[in-house]
Formats: sequence, C-alpha cells, structure tokens
Amino acid sequence: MSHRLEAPAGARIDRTHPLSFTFNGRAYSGFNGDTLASALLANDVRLLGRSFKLHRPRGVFSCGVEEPNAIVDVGAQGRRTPNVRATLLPLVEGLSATSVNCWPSVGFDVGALTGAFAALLPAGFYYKTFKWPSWRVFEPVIRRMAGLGTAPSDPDPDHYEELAAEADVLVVGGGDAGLAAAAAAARAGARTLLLEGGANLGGARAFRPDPEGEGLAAAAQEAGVRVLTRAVAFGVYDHNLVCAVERVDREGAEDLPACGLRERLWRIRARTIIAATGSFERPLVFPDNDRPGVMLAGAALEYALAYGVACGRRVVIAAACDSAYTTAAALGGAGMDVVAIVERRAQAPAAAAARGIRVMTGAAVTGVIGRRAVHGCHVEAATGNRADRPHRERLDCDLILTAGGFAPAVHLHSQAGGRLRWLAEEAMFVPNGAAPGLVSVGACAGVFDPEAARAHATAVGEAVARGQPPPAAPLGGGGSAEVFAPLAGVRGKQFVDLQNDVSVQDVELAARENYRSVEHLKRYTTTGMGTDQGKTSNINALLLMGAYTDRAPTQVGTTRFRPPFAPVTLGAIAGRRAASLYRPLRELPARTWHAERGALFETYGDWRRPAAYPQAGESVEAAAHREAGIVRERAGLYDGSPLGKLEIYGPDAAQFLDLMYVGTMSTLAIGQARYGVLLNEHGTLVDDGIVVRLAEQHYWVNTSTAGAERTAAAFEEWLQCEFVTLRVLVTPVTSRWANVTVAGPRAWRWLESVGFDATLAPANMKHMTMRAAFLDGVPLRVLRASFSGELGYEVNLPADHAVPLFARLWQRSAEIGAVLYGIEALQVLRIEKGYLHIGTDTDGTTLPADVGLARGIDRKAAAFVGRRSLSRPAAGDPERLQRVGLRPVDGRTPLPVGAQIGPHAPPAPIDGRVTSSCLSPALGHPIALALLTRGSQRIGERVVVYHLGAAIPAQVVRTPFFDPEGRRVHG
Amino acid sequence: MAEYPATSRIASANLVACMEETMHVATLRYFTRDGPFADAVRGATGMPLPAALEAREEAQLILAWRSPTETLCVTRSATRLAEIGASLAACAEGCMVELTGGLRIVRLMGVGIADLLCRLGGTASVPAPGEARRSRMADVPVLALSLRAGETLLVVERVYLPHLLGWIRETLLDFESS
Repeated sequence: MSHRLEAPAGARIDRTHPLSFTFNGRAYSGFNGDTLASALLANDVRLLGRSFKLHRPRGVFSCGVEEPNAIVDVGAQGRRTPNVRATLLPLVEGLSATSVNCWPSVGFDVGALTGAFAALLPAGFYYKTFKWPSWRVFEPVIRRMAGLGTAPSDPDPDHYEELAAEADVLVVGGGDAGLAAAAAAARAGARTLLLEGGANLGGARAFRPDPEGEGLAAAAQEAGVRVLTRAVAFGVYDHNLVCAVERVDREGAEDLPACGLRERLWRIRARTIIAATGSFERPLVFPDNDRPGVMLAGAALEYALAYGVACGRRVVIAAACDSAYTTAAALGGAGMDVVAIVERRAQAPAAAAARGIRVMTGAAVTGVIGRRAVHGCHVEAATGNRADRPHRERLDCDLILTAGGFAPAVHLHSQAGGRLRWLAEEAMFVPNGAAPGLVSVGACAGVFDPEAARAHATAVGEAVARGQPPPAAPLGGGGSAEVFAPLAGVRGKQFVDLQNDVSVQDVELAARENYRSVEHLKRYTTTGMGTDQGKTSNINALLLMGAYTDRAPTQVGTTRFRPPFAPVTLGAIAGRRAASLYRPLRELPARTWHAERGALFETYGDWRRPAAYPQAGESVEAAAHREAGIVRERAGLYDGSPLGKLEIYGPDAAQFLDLMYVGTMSTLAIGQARYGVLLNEHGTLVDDGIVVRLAEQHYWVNTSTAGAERTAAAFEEWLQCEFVTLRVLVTPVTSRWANVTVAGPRAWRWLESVGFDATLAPANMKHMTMRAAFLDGVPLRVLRASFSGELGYEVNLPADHAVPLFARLWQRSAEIGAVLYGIEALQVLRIEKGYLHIGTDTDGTTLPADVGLARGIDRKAAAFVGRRSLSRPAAGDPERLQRVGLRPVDGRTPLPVGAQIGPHAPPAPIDGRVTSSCLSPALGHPIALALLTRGSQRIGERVVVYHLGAAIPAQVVRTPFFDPEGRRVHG
Repeated sequence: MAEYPATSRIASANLVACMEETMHVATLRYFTRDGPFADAVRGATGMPLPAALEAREEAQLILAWRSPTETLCVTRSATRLAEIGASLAACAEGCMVELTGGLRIVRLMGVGIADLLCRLGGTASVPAPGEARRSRMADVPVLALSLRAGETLLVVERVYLPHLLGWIRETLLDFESS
C-alpha cells in the first residue's frame, strides 16, 4: 500500500499546513505543496480512473506532464475543468475532483464490460465494423462513449487574459540546466525570461539531490532573470513566438473570488529560445503493465523524495537501463523494500552488486497479479517462446516500477523545425543540432550528466546572449539502455499507449495491414493521441513498428510534434473574447435614443441595429409590415449610419472610379450622384453604392454597409498593386458621418417642419443629387436617394449631432403621422421595388447581366475591373441563374428564403432558389425575389417552390412589384 | 449631444483611462511626405509632417504618424482645425478630412500603461514618448500615441469605443483583484 513517509522525506510539502479535499465525494487530507496525485497516493488511493476504450482500472503512472492515467475533472458547474492531470494539480483547501470515464463509480464501472469484448475491439475496429445496417445506428452510442471528462454545465464565471511579452532569451524549463542557462544569459546582459510549468524550480534535483545545483535559482534571480512558475510553454510558432499558459488562481479551491482571473495566455517573442524541458522516462512493455501500482521508476522516486510518499512497500523494478539501479538505491534509502530488479539485459551494470539488491538478469516481468492494485508479479527468463521458459517465479510486491531508459522532451525543438537523430547506445532520439532560433540544453538535448548539463547550459546562455553560435551538446550521462521486442507467448495485454488502450497487438496489426509510416500508425491505432499526446508511448510505438517491419528507429522516424505540448483550456484560447466582448460589435451613434423608443436590436454583419420598433405584443414581422406600410403612406425615419462612406480625393479620382465601377463617374457634374456596381476581376458583383462628385477631384462614395471595409481595401489594393500611377487618396469616413434617412411621401414636409432650407425641396433638388447645407450651424451633406422607392433624403451629418437631429424630427412625427422603421421594414420596401441587395440576391457567380444590369456595360466603352471576364463563354451561358420576381399562385403562401425551385421535389436538380421574400403591405400578398435558370425568358411561367416538404406553386413575374414607373421617388 | 458608454472614466490603482470628449481630429492625406503639401502643413501648423511612427505636439496641436500617406491632426480647438483646413485647401497635393466625432480618444495615465497595452495588443502596441503606433488592440484597430512618459492616447473609431472600453475595464478589474 502507498503511504506517507516520515520527515525529512518530502522536500516540497509543508507538514505544518494540512489541507482537506475530496475525491469522488470522499474526504481526504494532504499538505500544502502536495499535488492531487501525491495526496491521493499518501491516502492509499491507487485507483483513480478508467481507461478510454476498455475501461480498465488505472492509477498514477508518472509524476508530471506526461501522465496518461490520472486524469480528473476538477471543480463544479461553470468552474469545472475536465481532464486535469492529477500529477500537476497543486492541492488547495477544499479542492474537489472526480474520476473520468466511469459510471456509476470508478470502483464499479459498467463500461468495464467492454473489456470482455477486448478481442473484438482491435485498432481500427471502427473502420471495419458498424457498416450494417447503417453507421447512423451506432453513431449516437459511440459518440456518448467517446471522449474523456465532462464539459462544464454553466457559463464560466472566471476571466482569462492574453499578455504579450518580449525577451532576448526565453528559457523554457526551470530545472538546473534551464536555471544555469538563464542566469548566464542574464549575466551577459540579455533580457531573460524563464518559464517553469510546475510550481517549483530545480527539476530533477527534487528526486536526484545534487548540492551543486542548490544555488542556481538564487543565482538566476540575482542576475535579473524574470521567472514565471506554473506557466507551461505549449507551442513554438513562426519567428520565435512561444505561447504559454500561466495558471493564475488556485485551481479547484473553495474560496476563489466570484469572478477572478484564472489563466493567462502569454505570447512571447524571443530573439533566442533555450529549451530545457528535460526528459521522460520510457516504460517497458509487459503483460498488464497498466495495473494501478505499475508506474515509472523516476516518478516513484520523486513522490518519495519530493512529496514524502511511498507508492508501495515492496517494490519490483522492471529495468532495461542503468538508471534503475540508482533509483532502487534511493528508494531503499527512503525506507522502501526493493524486492528485486528484473533486468531485461543479459548483464547488470558493474556497480549493481554493491548495492545489495537482488538482480535478476536476462529476465522479464511476464504477468502482474492484481486487478485494481498490484499484489505481485511473475518473472521469467526473457528468451524465446513460452516453451523455452520452463521456470516462472512469483514475486510478492505492491509496486512495480518500470525503467526502460529516457526519451528527451524534444517537442519544442521539433516544433521549431529542428531535426532528430537516434542514439543507439542510449536508445533515444536527441536533437540533431540546434533548431532555427532554438537551442536545447540539459536532458532534452541528451545531456544527462548534471555537471556537464550545467556547464553546457551556462555556455549556451552566454553564447546566445552575445549572439554567438551555441556550443555542441556533450551527449551522454544517462547510462546505457537497450530496446527489446515484446516477449512472445505471454498472456495479458501489453500496453504501449496507456491512455488510448493501444497494445502491442494493435501495433502488430497495423504493421500486418501494411501501415508503414509512423504518421499512419498513429492515426490507425490512435497511439500518441489524447491529452498526454503519447509522451510515454511514442518511442515504444515506433520501436515496435520498426521491429515488426524490420526497420531501424531512424528509418521509422517520429511523428511530427505539433502544438500544444500540453492541453490548453478553451478559456485560455478565448481570453477576453467572451460574453459582451466575444467580438467587436459596432454601435450606432444614436443607439440609446433608438433603444429608448423601443428598438429591437439585432446584429447585422458587425453592427447592432434596430430590426424594428415593435409595439406591445407585436412580432418583428408584423412590426416591419406596419412600419413599411406607413412609410409608403406617410413617412418614416431610419438610421442609415452604418452605410459605408469613403472620400476619394486626387487629380485622378474620376479616372480611378471609372476603373472601379461599372457606371461612368467621370461624367458626373459636381453635386450629381450615380448608382454603380463594383465587380471583382472575375466579373462577379461584389458591392454597389452611390458615387457623388463633391468637387472636381473630390468624390463621396456610399458603399453597402457590409461592403465598406471590403471596398476600401479593394480600392487600396488596386491603387497600390495595379493602378500605381494614379494619384488618388482613399479615406474611410463611415464613423465620422451619421446618416439620418427620411423617406415617404411626406418626407420633405417633415424636413421642412424642422427647419431644412427650401433649396432642398424636391422642386429645387433633383433625385440623385447631393447638397451641402447647414442646420443650426451643423454641416450637412444631404443626398436625395432612395432604397425604399419613396421620396427619400439621406441626411449625412457629423456623428455627434445625430441624436439631436433624430430628436428634433421625432418631435414632429405625430403631426406627420410618421414612424421609426428598422432594417426589416427597409427590406420589405426594397423587395417591393425589386432593388438588389448584393450578397442576398446574388452569389459568388452572379454577373451584372444576371441581375438586369447589362445596359450599363453596353453603354460604357472604357475599361473597368472585371470587364474582360464578362466576355468569357460562361458569361453568355443561356442557362445562367437570373434574377426574377415570384408571387405565389394562391396569393397567400409565403415563399421562404432559401427554398428551392425545380421541376421535381428535392433531392433533385434545381432551377434556382428564393433569395428575398416578404409579405408586401403595398400589394397585400407575398412576393419574393429569386435566382432562376433562364429567368428573364420565363416571365409568366409557373414554377414550383419546394420548402421542407411543401410544394408551393408560384408565378415568375417582372420586377419591380410596386410602382414600376418609379414615380414615387420624385415625391 | 454625444452618446458615450456609461463609463467614460475607468481607474485602477496604477492607471486611469478616461474619455477625451473635447478633442477635434482630422486626417491629413498626401501623396508624398516632402512635397508642397508638407510645406503647407509646416506653414499651417508650425511643424513638419512627422516621420514614421513619430508623434509630436506643439502649441497644443498634435501631429501623429498614421500611415505612409497619412498624419493625424488632433487639437482641442475646432477653430484651429478649421484654420488649418482652410490653409491646406489650396494645395492639390493632399487634403484634410475632418474625422471629429468619428474617432474617439481615450487618455491613459499612470505607470501601468505598458501592462495594459500588452494585454490589449502586443508589445509593438506600446509607444515610447514621441511615438505613434498603429496596431490591433482588443481586436480592433487603434492608434496609440505618447507625447510624454506616463501618458498615452488611444485613438479608436467611435463605433468600437464601447468594445475597447469594455476590454480595458475588464483588464483593470483583474489588475485590482490580482
């Protein structure tokens, strides 16, 4: 059984500061400085969870970021964090954690029944089964079973933030090598930042005491190194950008503030990165090597020395490397009984005999006794088949440690584009020189001798600080290790990847099915996936793959190490982008004024705008119908401020606008306005708007609301890349000018009543002209234009003055009988007039001729963007989709937007679709706009509109539906 | 009557962010930095067009680099701005476009400015005194300019002001609590 050791064991814990916590609802206690894993082990809790696929019982396997088994959910409701590694989770008062992937409890898990069918669930079984009668039958069940942990049930109350930083030298890893490198770099004058994923500095020194390293943390601090603990660097990106997550609060604590800062995402740009990320111990593969009580040897040592926890009383060490012997001696020194070292190699290191521990050379663990906890193991000679191994010895133990050598943590090196090479003597991949912008030191560089690692790290720190090439790494010091193929003829599953239940048999199956690439192996078997990303399994998997395909490790290679190195919460990635800050929304200058008058705001593009002004009990549709009707009858007031506005200035402005728009703008007289459509180089409609000439070389351009940025960007791109000799300046002014639109037969009467000058009256100012004017000293740009088909004035004025004008007009609304109208009413009005709404009534293939704008092209002789594409054969295809009007034959049934038009019910080839639709207040029946194959030739034809199983007969009609002569815009 | 978010002043222990409600802003647009328009600007303002990333202030008039063909002109005096516009109107090599009301200015004061800006944007968002830096902050475009130590002006489109202030408010709240 596991238990707490007496002091002085436990360098990281404070025995005077006890803490209470719960796990799976049961109360336990630990000490400040414990991790959840160490505290649970101290309480003899060895069964922590269930495996992903087979639901086998699992316990703590490691002591760090590589943990594949001890995955827990922490917290509750909105503060629940799924899939936290218990080995890294600092214990705090009141912490509450639960096991994952088990029901109803970790002790009795119904899902464990899948273990009975394990033989039917080899790697890739889901590619081969569930085909009959249909994948859809199985999909819901499999989806319910898939995944680890439980997502939070409520909105997260906490905050997350991003922080950018720069450093000359960024050191990742706070072990001795990292500290030495950081101190040296800082002493050489470099701004140095050090990130340590855990709460403590010193790395392996916690379980491999080394007096030489004692003063390193203080030296780094003295040299001016900025140190961040609990900050995990999870990715290296282009141009030496390192992203890290810093845990700010005490995760899982019961006394967290109501709304506090939980995590901080660091974006650090460094001139040079020094990786000092250490190494992982490589486990050996043997039958039932996943049982609670089987763990990495180095981890057991760390628990003993750093946390004062003995993970068992009687220990067997399954070894194939030299480090097992120092571990065994240290565990013995901590009071644990090391029963034997089962050495897979034929010979033990020379020094082994002196330690007085029984060493069984040329032997292997061939079975683990115990299901939820280890009670013993079987050991046999590690030779040939079962028949060659007549003798089997049982060893009584409650802890089996595995030590197969080391795997340097080369993830950041690999992410930075560094290459790897295989060291046969130590059986490990190490960096093959430095990566671009990144140098590895310490164990992650393959330097295991502490003194050599410190010296090398110091030299590297000094060199990179001074811009000099770093010295080569003095590899070695980790002792020898060997790679062995799994024993044949043994019973029980031999796991390669504990988190994903990938066994030796699965890798063998993949090889048998001719998977050769290690990337394919990963995807077929899922080895190396999951929250641990195969930190304890990748090397074993590729070694096995090599064994089964007669290839050396270098020939098999490694999978690409991609970010993130460790799991990152969605909260950390989102940062502040939650709730009202989820994305930047643009607000109208008169937002509050509209809200006070009952506006129902909706988001259109990036703008929050009034959809309508519903009266009590009125739906948006009904409100829009009412508002549109009153605009037609009397007048309405509309906030058109989001309309895009550009000022185009320069001696070549006219020529430039001729090139950009289908219409000819150079012939505009000053004060005159013209509608224009904008094409891209494919001839496709991308925006439309109104161009006004303000002065000889000065234009005002109204774009669509959604097209404001796109049009400004297109103008700049054409000016900077193609029309580089044109002297034109494009200045977006959308925010500067509010747009107060007054429309309807009484529009002028309304404006006149609040003091607008008589020169703006319809009799004195033509449709499609703009006049500069003043109202109480406020400059106005008044445009007579209409998107409603009624007499319309678009009053542009400085945004700060929008509210006073709205208020002034609204004071007179009763005598005019006018309304405020929103976007939905505007849509009704423009559909009645058949006005085009680009992006709604067009798609990525629509050409001007498809929407009835061929005449403008025919009239224009000069070149413009997209013109050449209009002469492609496809542009003249008689089957093109063309804009038409539709009305239901019964005069009652709405024609829904998106509904398909075709000769047969879907699924079938279609003739077109409905693009805009409304119930027309002016006509009293539904109308719609549509894109229809050969539409212009099918006026009068009856078609069928299909929508959600309904077939609606409709007639193709011309547009506009209302006021086809266009008389009403003149008042 | 202008409309602002409910909070136009946000403060923490080492930082104050407040709306500048009386600033008048225009952009000077030109084809080259050293042509007749630059001379006209010097004549009208007493200052040369700022170099790239430069911000300067004389006689309560700020000129701040905004792009290779654009300089922002900021002053508390509408009359002064109108006079500058009038004197530049004759020069065909550039133009002045008034943006008052379209651009909003948030003044930051205190020792925590860099800490805040590194959270709103990146390290390149932090202007040294005499610098103007245009970058993405709080996911919106912002020009940050500093004329003296301990003070920075953030120039942002008015439509994004509530978003920027919301982000600043949340960040300062976390400053307070941590």
